[in-house]
Amino acid sequence: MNEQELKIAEKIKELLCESLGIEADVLTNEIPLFGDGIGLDSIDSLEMIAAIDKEFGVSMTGVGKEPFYNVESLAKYVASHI
Amino acid sequence: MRKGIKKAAELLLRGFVRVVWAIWTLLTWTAYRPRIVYEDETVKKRLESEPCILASNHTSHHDGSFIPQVLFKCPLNVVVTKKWYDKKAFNWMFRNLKYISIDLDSMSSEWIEKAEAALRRGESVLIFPAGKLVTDGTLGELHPGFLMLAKFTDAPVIPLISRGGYRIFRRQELIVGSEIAFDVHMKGRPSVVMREGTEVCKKQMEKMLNRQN
Repeated sequence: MNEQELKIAEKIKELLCESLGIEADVLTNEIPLFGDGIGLDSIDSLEMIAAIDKEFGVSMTGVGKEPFYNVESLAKYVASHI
Repeated sequence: MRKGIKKAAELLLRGFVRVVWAIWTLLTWTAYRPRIVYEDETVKKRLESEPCILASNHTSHHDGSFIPQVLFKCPLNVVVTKKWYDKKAFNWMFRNLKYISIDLDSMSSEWIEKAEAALRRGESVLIFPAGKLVTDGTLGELHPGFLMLAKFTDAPVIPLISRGGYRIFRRQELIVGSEIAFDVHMKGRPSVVMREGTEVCKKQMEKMLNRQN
């Protein structure tokens, strides 16, 4: 990740901890957000999409599953659409 | 020129769909003789004056037309699965009436944006939280998307029960419950908090389902 993506990743982690109640110490850039990783589901993704839209003005409506894989992929998606 | 013809054709189709809908509404009222029961009389006025999220049981494909036809005074947008929305036989109608497509197999939040827009326009949204037909006499498992919609819009959630089996010339009953008492803004992970909310909603709907006249 480049410098801009790292900054975005840090902000995304803050947002996820605040809005989804994830413990900060387990949320790394690489850990999968869904399934065996953090264990989020599609309902949590709605909150995540709303938080990202509000913070960065990036709409993730209709986006496939790939950008939601982990914080790194989210940061890369946001950085390329900001 | 072509654009003009296309636009005129769209307007014509929209007009045609509305006429078909009006005739269908008359047939519904004749064939199913709907009986609407309000558990809370204040909800009747609320439905006609403020946007609400209506969460209903789903025992027949008729539900998606019956409920908006019965509650015709309340402009309703119906959330329908993409599988049905995209069927050629129905898509022309869904596109020209107030139907919102939901893709249950993807993480797309398009439906929630459309439903939010409808609520902000002052229209209500009807959703079947089971996401499929449940014909075993239970409500099935309820999915919490409708509560997320309530969280994003602050619209009240009103439970509905349609019962009677859609038998011609027998009364089909629509029970309208009181607003679900659950704080959708409760702190915590939405997938956990909203599941608690669906349980609250389910209990209330089960009481309505088993209500004696």
